[in-house]
Amino acid sequence: MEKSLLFIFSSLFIISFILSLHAIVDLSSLTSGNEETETANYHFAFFLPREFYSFFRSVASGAREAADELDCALSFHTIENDSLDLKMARFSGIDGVVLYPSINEEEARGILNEFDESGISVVLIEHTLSDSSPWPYVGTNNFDIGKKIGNLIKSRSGSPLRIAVVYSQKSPGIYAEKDLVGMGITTALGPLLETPLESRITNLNPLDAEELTYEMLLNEPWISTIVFTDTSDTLAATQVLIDMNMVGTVRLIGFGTENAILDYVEKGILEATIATNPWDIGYNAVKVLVNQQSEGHMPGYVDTGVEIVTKENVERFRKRGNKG
Amino acid sequence: MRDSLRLQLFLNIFLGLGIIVISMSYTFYSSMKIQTIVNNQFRKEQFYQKLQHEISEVRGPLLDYLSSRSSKALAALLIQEQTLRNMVPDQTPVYRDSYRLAEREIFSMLSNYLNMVEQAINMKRGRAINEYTQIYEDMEKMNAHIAQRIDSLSLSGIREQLTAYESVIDASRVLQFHNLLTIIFAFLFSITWMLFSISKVTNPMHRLAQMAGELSTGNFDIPDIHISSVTEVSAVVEAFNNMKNDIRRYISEIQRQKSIEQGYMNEKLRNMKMEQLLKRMELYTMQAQMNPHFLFNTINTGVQLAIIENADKTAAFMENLATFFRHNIRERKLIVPLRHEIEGLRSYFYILEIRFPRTYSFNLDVQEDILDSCSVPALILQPLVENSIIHAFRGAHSGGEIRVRVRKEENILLLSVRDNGSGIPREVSDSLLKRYTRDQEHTSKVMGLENVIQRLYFFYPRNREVITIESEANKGTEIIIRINLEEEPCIKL
Repeated sequence: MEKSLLFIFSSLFIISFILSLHAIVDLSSLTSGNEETETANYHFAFFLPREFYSFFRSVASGAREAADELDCALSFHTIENDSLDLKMARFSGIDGVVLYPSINEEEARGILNEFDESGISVVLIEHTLSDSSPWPYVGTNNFDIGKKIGNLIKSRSGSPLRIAVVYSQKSPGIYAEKDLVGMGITTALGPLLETPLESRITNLNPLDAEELTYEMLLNEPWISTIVFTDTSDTLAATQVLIDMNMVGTVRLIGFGTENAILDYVEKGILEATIATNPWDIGYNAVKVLVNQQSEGHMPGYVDTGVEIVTKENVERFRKRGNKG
Repeated sequence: MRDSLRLQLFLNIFLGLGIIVISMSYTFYSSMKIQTIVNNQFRKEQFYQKLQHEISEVRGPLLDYLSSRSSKALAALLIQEQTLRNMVPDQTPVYRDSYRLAEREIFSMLSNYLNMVEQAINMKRGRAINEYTQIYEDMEKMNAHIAQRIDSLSLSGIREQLTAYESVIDASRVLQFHNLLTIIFAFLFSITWMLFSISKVTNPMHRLAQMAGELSTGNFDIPDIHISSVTEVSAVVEAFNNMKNDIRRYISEIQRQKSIEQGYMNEKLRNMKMEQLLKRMELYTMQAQMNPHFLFNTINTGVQLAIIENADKTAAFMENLATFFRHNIRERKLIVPLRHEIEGLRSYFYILEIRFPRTYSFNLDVQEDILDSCSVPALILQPLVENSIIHAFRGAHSGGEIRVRVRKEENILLLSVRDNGSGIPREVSDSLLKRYTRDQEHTSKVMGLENVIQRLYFFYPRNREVITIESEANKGTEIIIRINLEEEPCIKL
């Protein structure tokens, strides 16, 4: 009896002791496991707007992919007017900067010059700044965007065409080059345009497009097609169109590849949507900076292209997901 | 290997307590480990808090120096600058992890900030007022930005650690639970181990106690104990086994001696009783001699009177009577020649024939050649004849026949007394033939047939058939005495 108890208790003692040791190892690994020791060759900083739409998530995703491939480390920061983050970035030991220049152009030029003076490479994405010496740029050619929109309208509609384009401060890349977009559309449509393009602008409020769309649909019934150049505006406007039960009476062409927008395209609520390639933008931005660091030079302009998503090809864009 | 009791108890108790102490120590160690782990979780945040404090502390001396150019402010500024430089790591590799990347950015900015401090000092020394005023503005912004980045980083770190904290707490609970189990099982194991060790010592003692109890009841046939790994206990067990075996042997020896002594005492008692019996017989004999002497002398006087008066028959009767008495009185020996016994019997027959001429007829058949060569215990035939006269023919007035035959067959002397009387019942003959043991009370009236039987048993103790009685109711009785002539009669007292 005593021998059995001795065996049982000694076994239980050993088992509980081993379990306890195991728990200590687990506990240690919970904390020590957080220490990342993997290093990279370069440190690049991304400065993107606070509104982190899928566009920017895709940019970040593409950038991370490139960073993994090209042995870089990335830090992401918010770009704002008078932001110390951007101003002090040149002291933070970074090797390069990817900038979405959504701030005041003058301020941006001054900061870019300081980067240049500090020997920090800079790449602008989505839209560029007019300057005496052009900054390296990775993004979409806005003239091409306008041209593709024009071709789409041309293929889907008969004349006379009365088109309104809604630019947004939330998409400063297009907003800054809205003239190029307009030129592209005009070039594509030519004499089909019965009236000159109507331009509308929304502010940074993501719901601003609702009121604008409501007024346009109500007060400007002659407009046959409305083109949006921002994802938030597209979503807000589409909802208004549905609420006013005017689906089919006005053609809407949206912007972005959010799932909701692709759903609208698939259902025919939206005629089409403009798909830029943010993943490629992020990927190529990092690639350009690595080239600069490793080879001492970089291409001045990288066009990542633009595509029009229609009901016919929407599935392909769904499969591409964020990468699209 | 056997160890001493003290060593075994010491080692076993030491081991039991040692396990408890080890388990407690381990629990203490694991608690310290938990504290260290939890402390490490927030160590960075503590560091950044201190760094932030030191960064804000540099502003005062910087402004003091730039505004006053005092050496005291400069010293304080330089000390603060050195303190901050010591907090900046020498190497700031580019880690992929965003947290560590942010750390790198902060340290780079701090390093640049400290460089700017040096620049500002130099500008102040060079009295470049515009420059150091401008750089002071930039440094203030930078100082604020670094503090803000540290805040942000620290907050991020705390959030991250808080996320992990729950897991750490869960893991700690699991660890504490297992530690509790470890202590409990260590305690139970130690207690069981010590009990087991104590039992190893006490079990033989318990067995010894049981054995002692058995021995106290007189049971010495219990087997030896063969247990214990303890030297002292083994010695006790061995001594106890030896003691038990010795006692058993001594008791056996005592019993054997007691048995011998008892036999000896019985023999002695028997001899004493026999001596007493003989003395009593001698007394009877002597008592019997008093009257026979008187009678003998008287009868002789009668014989002389009968001769004087010419009464021949009376003279012959008186002479035989005198011979019979003479025979009885003279024979004081225990063993007498057969002739003497037969002569006495003839005189007795003559007297009886005169007394009971018509009642009895006597026949004496004796082998004459053995009368002088054989000896028999005295007075063994006459009492047998007398017994027949008294008991076999009670109330009879004629026809009684008594036949005495004496002959020798090989080395056996056969003496037979046969009558045709009423016979002796079986139970009476069995009672008469019963041999007196030493424990039986002898009656003082051991006379006649019984006297003869017992005397024969006495003289020939090994001869179970020395006397037999064959009797049939109303047909007669034959008493046969068989004396082995090669056997010496037992006459030693």
